[in-house]
Amino acid sequence: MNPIIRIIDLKKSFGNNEVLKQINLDIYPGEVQCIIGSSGSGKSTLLRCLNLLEEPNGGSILFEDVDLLAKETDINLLRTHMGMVFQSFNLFNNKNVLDNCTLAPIKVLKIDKKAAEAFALSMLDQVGMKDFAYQNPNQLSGGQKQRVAIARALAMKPKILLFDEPTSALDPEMVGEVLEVMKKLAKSGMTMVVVTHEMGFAKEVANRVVFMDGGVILESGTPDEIFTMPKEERTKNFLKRVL
Amino acid sequence: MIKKFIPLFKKLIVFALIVGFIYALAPHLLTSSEADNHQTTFISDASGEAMEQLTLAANSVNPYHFGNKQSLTPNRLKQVTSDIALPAAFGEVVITWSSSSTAIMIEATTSTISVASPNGLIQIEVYKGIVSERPNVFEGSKPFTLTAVFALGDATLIKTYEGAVVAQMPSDFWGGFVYTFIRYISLFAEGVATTLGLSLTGTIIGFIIALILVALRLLKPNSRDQKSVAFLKKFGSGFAKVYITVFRGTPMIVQASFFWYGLGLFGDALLCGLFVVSVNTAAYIAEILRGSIGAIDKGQTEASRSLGMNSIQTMISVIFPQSVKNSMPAIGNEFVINIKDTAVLSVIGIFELFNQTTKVAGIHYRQLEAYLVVALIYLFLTYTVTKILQRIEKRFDIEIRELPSSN
Repeated sequence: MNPIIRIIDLKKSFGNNEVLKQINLDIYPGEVQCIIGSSGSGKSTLLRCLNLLEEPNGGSILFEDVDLLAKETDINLLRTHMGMVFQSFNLFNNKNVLDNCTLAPIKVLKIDKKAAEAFALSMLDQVGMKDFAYQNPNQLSGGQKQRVAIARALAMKPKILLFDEPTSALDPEMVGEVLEVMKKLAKSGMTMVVVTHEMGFAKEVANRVVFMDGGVILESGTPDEIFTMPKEERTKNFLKRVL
Repeated sequence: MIKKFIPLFKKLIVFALIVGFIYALAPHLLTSSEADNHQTTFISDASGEAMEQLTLAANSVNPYHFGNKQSLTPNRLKQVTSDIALPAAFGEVVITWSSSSTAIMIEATTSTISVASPNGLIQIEVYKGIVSERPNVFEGSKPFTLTAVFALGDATLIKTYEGAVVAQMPSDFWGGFVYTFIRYISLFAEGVATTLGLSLTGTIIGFIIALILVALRLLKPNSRDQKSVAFLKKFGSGFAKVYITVFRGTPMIVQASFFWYGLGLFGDALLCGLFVVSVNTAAYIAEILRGSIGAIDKGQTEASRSLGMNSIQTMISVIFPQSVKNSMPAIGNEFVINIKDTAVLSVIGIFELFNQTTKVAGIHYRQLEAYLVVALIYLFLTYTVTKILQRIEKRFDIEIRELPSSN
């Protein structure tokens, strides 16, 4: 099977600060990859490079064998295939829940309004937010916002979902409901890349766990390999502190 | 009791705003024509040479101001405040006068006064028309008709003069203040309509221009753009920068003079004034919008772009609606500022509120009263408009902030 995303020698630096050094990573369809590591290790930057919210300085990213960094690539088209869920939800404040989910399908995919709304409602139903369709984002709790954000990403029928610390900004009480939704998605066969601090989730759901430190992938493997018998000293120290 | 009138009062303000708006767009809809200013009638049975002499006399003779010996033109005759002098003869033509109203009583005997003529001062015989009934300022004016019979031998010609006695300006300050306000209320009202119309329309047009400006201003070429696109983006952004710098960096009075006297734009001072207010306001609102766009969380843009929307779609659907909503108080503030700032447009001869006041002040040379009246009118306008805007902001659930003036 061909990887859906192939990262080759990826480099990214902010000024003199080299955040990513020679990252190589393959992501296969149907796979759930969790990226873990301490703050500042470059996990979020790596994720944001995947849909070019950050422009890499070197290397290449192939999405279904199309080079993202090539000048002639239509990046807006490729982004429609890659849904992204942010730490701070980033729901559009000027639109209600349903409009949040239908804006891009109507504007970008050119789906007509009725069909877009019907599909968005079914996605909202999937994340348990159908009853809130006509509310404004500022009336929702953090967990509800994040579930709407997931529905918004799903409304584009993406081939892969990128999660950037989706539960880090949530009250502990609300983490559960979001993780539930993500587990359901994983079971349905969605390809997911999850940057997370939720080790429990990584253990339970991930097919592969990637440990990053100082801008490189230090270690990767199945959850069992990483959590029970990590090879690197740095990984052991990290897991000792977070578990 | 007073509370009962507040809704009515608000409706009046809204009405005034609408009227001002219409007036700014189509001034001719509201001002009546001034054709009925001057009415004279000739009735004559004369002919030939006699007729010529009589007509010349009728066309030449005007009543005089008895005090300062000024000739009373048809307009001035409608603003009589003190005794008038009616010539008893013109060359060989004998003139007799009668008045239709008790407002002017004509003396039976003539007196002699000296008036200016092309040949220097000349002595003429006149009948004195005494103002016997003077209306107070609230009554308005008392009209009268003077009938003059021009006679040359047996031939006669009858001419009528329409006039009115008006209230005299009291000499004390408060009397003068009330007089100025009541007597010239229609002039002030016209000025208010022009001022409100200009500033409201100017703010709205300025806002629309500002949207375009700020969109240009925020263009940034990225690494994926073709060379021509990158150049256009740079050009647009540079143009907006220069525009904003120039229009914020020069006084509106200079801009108005430059466009009206310098370039002679539009050929209509009101249109030119509207143009100046609009382009000037656009520069300020563009900066307000830029500030509020900068204040919007970057996450909004990222979320939009991550869904595949391009930068223009993101701007239109996500960023602009939020930043416009957030900057509504500041844009309303621009409207209030414009109410005051349009006063400088008097320099290009627009009869907005300030210019009307200058006119009023000039009639009686009583500056203090006139400018106090206009100051209070301006204060009233800005205060009520501010209150209305706050109401609107509350209704649209926009956070109310006290804003500093931008100029």
